[in-house]
Amino acid sequence: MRLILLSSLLAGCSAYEGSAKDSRSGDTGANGDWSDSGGSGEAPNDTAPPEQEDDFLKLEPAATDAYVFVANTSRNTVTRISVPSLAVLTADVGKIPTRVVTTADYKKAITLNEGSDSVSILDAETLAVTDVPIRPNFNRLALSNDGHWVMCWYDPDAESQGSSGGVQSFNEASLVNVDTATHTPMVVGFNPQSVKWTEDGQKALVVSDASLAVIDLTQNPPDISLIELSDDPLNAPAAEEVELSPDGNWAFVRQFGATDLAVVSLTDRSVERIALGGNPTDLDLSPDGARITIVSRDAHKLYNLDPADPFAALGELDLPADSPYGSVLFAGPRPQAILYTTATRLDRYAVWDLLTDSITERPLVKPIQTIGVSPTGGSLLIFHTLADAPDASSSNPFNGHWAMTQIDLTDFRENPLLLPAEPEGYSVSDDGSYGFFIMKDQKVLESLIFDTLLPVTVELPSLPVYLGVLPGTNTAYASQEHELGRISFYDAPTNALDTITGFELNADISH
Amino acid sequence: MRTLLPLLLLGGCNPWNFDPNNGNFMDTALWDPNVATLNDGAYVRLPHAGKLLRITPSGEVTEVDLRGASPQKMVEVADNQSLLVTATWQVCEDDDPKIKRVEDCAYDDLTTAAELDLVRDGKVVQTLDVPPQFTAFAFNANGSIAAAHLDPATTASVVVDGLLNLTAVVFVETVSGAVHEVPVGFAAESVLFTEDGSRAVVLSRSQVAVVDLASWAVSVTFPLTLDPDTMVTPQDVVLAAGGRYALVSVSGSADLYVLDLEQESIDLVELSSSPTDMLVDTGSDQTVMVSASRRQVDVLEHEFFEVESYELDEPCNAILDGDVWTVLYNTNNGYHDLYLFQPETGLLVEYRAENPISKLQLTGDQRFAVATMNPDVSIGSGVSGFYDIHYGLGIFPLAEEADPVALVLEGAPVGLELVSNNGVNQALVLMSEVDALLRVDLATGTAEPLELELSPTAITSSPDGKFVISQDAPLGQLSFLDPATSNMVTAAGFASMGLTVDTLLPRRDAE
Repeated sequence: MRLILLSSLLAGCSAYEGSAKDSRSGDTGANGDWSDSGGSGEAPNDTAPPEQEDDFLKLEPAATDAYVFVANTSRNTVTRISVPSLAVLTADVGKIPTRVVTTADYKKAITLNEGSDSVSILDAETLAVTDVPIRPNFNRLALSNDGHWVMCWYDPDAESQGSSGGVQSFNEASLVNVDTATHTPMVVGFNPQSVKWTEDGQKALVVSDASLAVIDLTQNPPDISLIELSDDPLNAPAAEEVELSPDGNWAFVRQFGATDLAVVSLTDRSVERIALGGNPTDLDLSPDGARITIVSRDAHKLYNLDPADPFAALGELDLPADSPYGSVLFAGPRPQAILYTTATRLDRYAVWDLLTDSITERPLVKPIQTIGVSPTGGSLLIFHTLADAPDASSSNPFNGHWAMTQIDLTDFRENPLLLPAEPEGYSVSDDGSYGFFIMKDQKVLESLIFDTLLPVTVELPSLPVYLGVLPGTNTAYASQEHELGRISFYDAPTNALDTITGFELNADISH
Repeated sequence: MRTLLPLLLLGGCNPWNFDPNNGNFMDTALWDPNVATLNDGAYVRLPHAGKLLRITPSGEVTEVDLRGASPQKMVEVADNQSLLVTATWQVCEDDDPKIKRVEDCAYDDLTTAAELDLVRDGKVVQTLDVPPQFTAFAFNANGSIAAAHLDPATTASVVVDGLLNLTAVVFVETVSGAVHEVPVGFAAESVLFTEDGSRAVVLSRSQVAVVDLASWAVSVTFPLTLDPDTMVTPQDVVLAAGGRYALVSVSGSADLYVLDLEQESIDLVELSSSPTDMLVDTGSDQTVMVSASRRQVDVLEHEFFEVESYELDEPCNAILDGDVWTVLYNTNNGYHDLYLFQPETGLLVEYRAENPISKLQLTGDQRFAVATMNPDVSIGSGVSGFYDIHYGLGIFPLAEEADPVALVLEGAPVGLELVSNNGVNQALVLMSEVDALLRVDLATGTAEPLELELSPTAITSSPDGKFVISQDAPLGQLSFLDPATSNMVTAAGFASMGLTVDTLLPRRDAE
């Protein structure tokens, strides 16, 4: 449950590098794994969807630089809150809106309406609404980076509301052109898991269990072709993670249990395989797009590919033999990456210098539950497991407690903090000045000043549910538990907190 | 035929034994000492005879012709020229032309009719098309518009003839008598007019309606709950920030609803408890709130609606707005504190009243707060104990630092009016069974008695700056006091007009 909650938090805030990933292999890359036990040493297997709570307050808001949009599931409306005036306006959308996203240009908000099997496209300024019908019973929505497209599909592991019954497909998807409000229904592979959009905005890739659907967005209607990832459809390993080359020519697919990497040509639809020593546990594209890095925890190896020429010579680097690092995260003002694991209770991490290929291990107060880096790469934020490392000193004051550590990636100054409860969400401002996190059953918002590594505790009027940062600002917002809706805005530079309560009532204001 | 028969019938006594000196044996009083005062004089009800009299400051007595109806309630219109009179009369449902008198009509055929009359210059100028059961009135600043609705406090005695629409408020243009019925929601609780006179805010069950007074229609309705099973009863309302916001407290909840009448949005401010009294401090444009259950005063600013609380030694349940000071006090037994408070700075000055405050008023020049006080429930010893068992008058200086003055009263205060004249502040105090009016110089605390012929029962200020003193005379006695000269004009015996009761069924011929 928490895995998915955090996943949506992270997807919404776009603050930390990396994205939530499946955790079948234990290491998940950045931000993916919040295990209940806090690192038992075993790969987490609690990948169940969140509890089915009919509670609109649990919905993640979406933000632009000037507005926060909150979907009101039970009222079939979307509330727009202006910042800083906190003026509230409400628009009617389809039935049971369960997800709201905003486009990168801040001009539109889009809802997935599970009750009416539609998406609503709202003009952020005027709140004019255009409803577009989609295929029935979908519960997932992904927005393209350029904001021109949304893809919807059914995910059996995700929370679902408002099923209209009837035939249920596990292979369908709906592609909606946000600009023209046109719908293209399509059949993709079995059990679609995620969508990748090429940087040039010309293709969408739907990652399914054993296939990759490539959608040409330049065609009208968009053209789809399916690429099988395995020669043996009967025993095809499920795709876990996909990265695209910056030029959009190649897709790199990491599959569960495979010992190689599938390299898909997006130009001729061919699939080649690159053999790796052992099961790869993470796959990442460097920020400069110059390398695809694959980590193999069991083989204690790290592999590098040239994304423009993936079949050129494979770079290979040995990892410390006694440290089962399974994840990689490119981070820092210098060309460097962080190596770590969330699959075992390892209380250290490593810094990989990309220029010299040297690897330096550094200690931590506790094992890692999740990790993130600020957008500027200057700061590393590590949330630790509740469980201690097997060989932890008995005098370690962090034993038996939740904890987090801020690390300055320039000089590796760090400030480990003992926490009163489990962190449930975090986000950072776009300029990397401030980080924010909330904790379970704590009516506080913690603000982190990355310059000084010092935290500031901000009391909230009620328990926070979701946390985000208004794009381009240092203002965090925390939606909270309140039957009529409550959201607080915290401006970190001025340390000012403003709260609006009861905005759900606005939906019923009548004229 | 005029007869005293009803006295016999109803009182079961010999009318010739009627004692005019003490009113014995009368089922209803000959006259009501609670008079209404307008520019043209005092209006007096004669309940027993069912008559309405006007008594001018020169002592001239005239009857207001209500066409046989009996005045039940009088409300002065804020224009100081008009009076709203709820009047009733008996109707015999039997059309037999022989039936002329009440006693001729069978008991089961007797019903009561009612109407609302607009009285001006001693005459009914118009009978208003307002349900006579609507006896709660609110007026705009200049009295040109009255809003009438059912008084929640009198619902037990309301008689419904046919049907009664409880979802409407009736607005009356008091100059023309034009009436506008506006549906505002069930069970209107109170009506408030905006300062500019363009809108009225009507509090009803679970909603607040804003009525546009140009079109006489509801412009917007704010819900107070989203759950139809939950009943939210508004308790108090103030208009803040020049009428932009309506702040609504509700019964049994610490939530304060902030209704933005311009942006048409709702916010909720969570207070520590439900406010017992609140007002907008005109100087600082902040709302001051007290609660009888908490020892604090809350100040709500009107930009971000943040609350600042200040601790008190004792809880308060009432507030008076002064120019320099806001005065906080408690009218419940057992409390003695009175606070001078500056909302802008939080400055608090505490005064101690010798006995519990019954009623508090500020002088026109804001130099003094004057309180009538009840005997204390806990009796001390010595001088304190002596004071405790008496009624008292407390004088609290506001303009300078000085000790309050506590005066012991001979009897229970039945009236207190304050006079500011040429820099001299006086309190006019009437006490039960004391045949004198005390003129108390508030600066010195000295009192000068002004002898009255009889014991006073009430004092009412009139628009011309004079005071009308009702005295304990069975046949009626009113004195018009000019406080500047101490001249008094007395009218007596006017209630003798009510000794004879005409049982003729009024308006029988017109029916």
